[in-house]
Amino acid sequence: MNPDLQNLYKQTLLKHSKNPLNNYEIEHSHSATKRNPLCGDEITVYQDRDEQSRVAFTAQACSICLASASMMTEKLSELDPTDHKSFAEDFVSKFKDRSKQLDLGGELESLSGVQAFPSRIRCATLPWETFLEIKKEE
Amino acid sequence: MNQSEATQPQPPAIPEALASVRADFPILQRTVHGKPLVYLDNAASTQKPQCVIDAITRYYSAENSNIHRGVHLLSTEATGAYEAARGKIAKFLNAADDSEIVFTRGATEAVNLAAYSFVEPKLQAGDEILISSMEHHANIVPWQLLCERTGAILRVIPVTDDCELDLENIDELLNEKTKFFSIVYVSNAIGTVNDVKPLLAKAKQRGIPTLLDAAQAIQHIPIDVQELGCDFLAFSGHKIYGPTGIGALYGRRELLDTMRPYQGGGDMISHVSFEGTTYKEPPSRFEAGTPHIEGAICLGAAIDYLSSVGLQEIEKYESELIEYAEAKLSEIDGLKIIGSPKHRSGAISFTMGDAHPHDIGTVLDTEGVAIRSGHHCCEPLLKRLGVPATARASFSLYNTPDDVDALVAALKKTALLFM
Repeated sequence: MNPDLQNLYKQTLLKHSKNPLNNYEIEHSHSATKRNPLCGDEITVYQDRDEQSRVAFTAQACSICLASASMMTEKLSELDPTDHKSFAEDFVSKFKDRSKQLDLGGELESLSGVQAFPSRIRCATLPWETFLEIKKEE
Repeated sequence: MNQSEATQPQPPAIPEALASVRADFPILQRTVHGKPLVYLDNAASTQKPQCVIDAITRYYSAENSNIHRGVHLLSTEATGAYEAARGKIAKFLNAADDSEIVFTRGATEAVNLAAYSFVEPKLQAGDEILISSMEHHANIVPWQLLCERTGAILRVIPVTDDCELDLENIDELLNEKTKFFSIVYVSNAIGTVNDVKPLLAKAKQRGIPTLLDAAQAIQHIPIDVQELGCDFLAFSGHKIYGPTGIGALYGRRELLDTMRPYQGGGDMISHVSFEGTTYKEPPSRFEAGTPHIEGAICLGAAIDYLSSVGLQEIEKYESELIEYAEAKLSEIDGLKIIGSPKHRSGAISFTMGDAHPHDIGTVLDTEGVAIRSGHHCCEPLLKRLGVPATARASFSLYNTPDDVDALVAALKKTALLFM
């Protein structure tokens, strides 16, 4: 198999995409929805109004977007909610600045293979951009 | 022959007329990710034969000049080549006169031109425009915008689960309020070929003008606008082996004569003063500014190429190739072909288990196989068919049974990752 492809679809990424974590709707939460107009994929991200480290999502999306969303919800649950916005902004900017070496850390590192496929970068960043929409509305 | 061999789909033989066409397309010699290119994204854009590429070089090397305004030789030659291309298109479509061909940036602009210049002045609030659920966005959005401007109502012919037009209520949909009927000939997303002739005739009987969106038909099926009986027809150059940024609107001259200009300036004027302006006759009236001269000339070269191969040969071979591809794809576990129209041309759309079409597209790309994945600019149709996105393999005259086999092999590798 093509080495770039192997690097893209790492086991961790496939594990998250096949069984995404926190893949449900949170009622009465802060939420935002975003679409990737190129492919029609759509994701809604929810943040519990009280327990802010609780973030979930529902989506109709590809494996990279699903895995990224799954890992995002896990990562945000570990962080102090006051750090959520800056972490998400940093994640998105790391992907968009292709001159830089990606250093994502932890399971998120499994998304690094996406950088070799420029047409798929939006798939990885869409959940995070959607989460940032919630932060914008607050 | 044993039984399993007997049931294997048999690849079609490549006919004599198409035997050497691959050599005419230099891009087909390149590799992608170290693999030979298998280009199956022809519904999005076709590759260009050497004669079209040469025509671009020839124009800029020997003829480059503005048209319809210089008295010098270069301008005369460029004008001649531009107008000759118009004539080639008119002949290719069997238009009654060269002046019935208006150059546009593509099929999208052709539909917008018809909407703005022909339909809008005739519309009143409450009037209806009829399209179908099978349209791509270029034959939906211009009509929506027109309805927003005028208060007209957009009505839509539904499609069946097989992705055929559902004509059960056609007599109610084509009614006395209908002021225009615009319909797709071949669906870019599914490949359905619509039996448009009786529909166009039905509209004509009721005095309703019609536009045929032939963007996905003109490169696969011989077209005769007079025989089909459409009033307008739209297509893009880059989908028939020509350049991007050029296409055409065919319009019956009698109708073009009644139409207001589309854009103002440059070559569309007859006389300008600050008191008022008079406009040239069609088609110049609709070709404001300096047009895409080399685009038109190279589109003419593409039409020459297509004509030299022969649309009838192409249609027959492509239909055999699609039949072979359908049979081979059907053998893949979990693969579902979307829609089962009686007559299919150009494309096959499919899903494969839980594998997202974009993931399919990425894996296939690393195997050198280029397909399209997504909603194919047909969101309403895909929603109706209950799929958010599909993978689409679309074919052209240079595709071979080997390309189909490469697609199938790459899909089997995709299944290993995602199924």
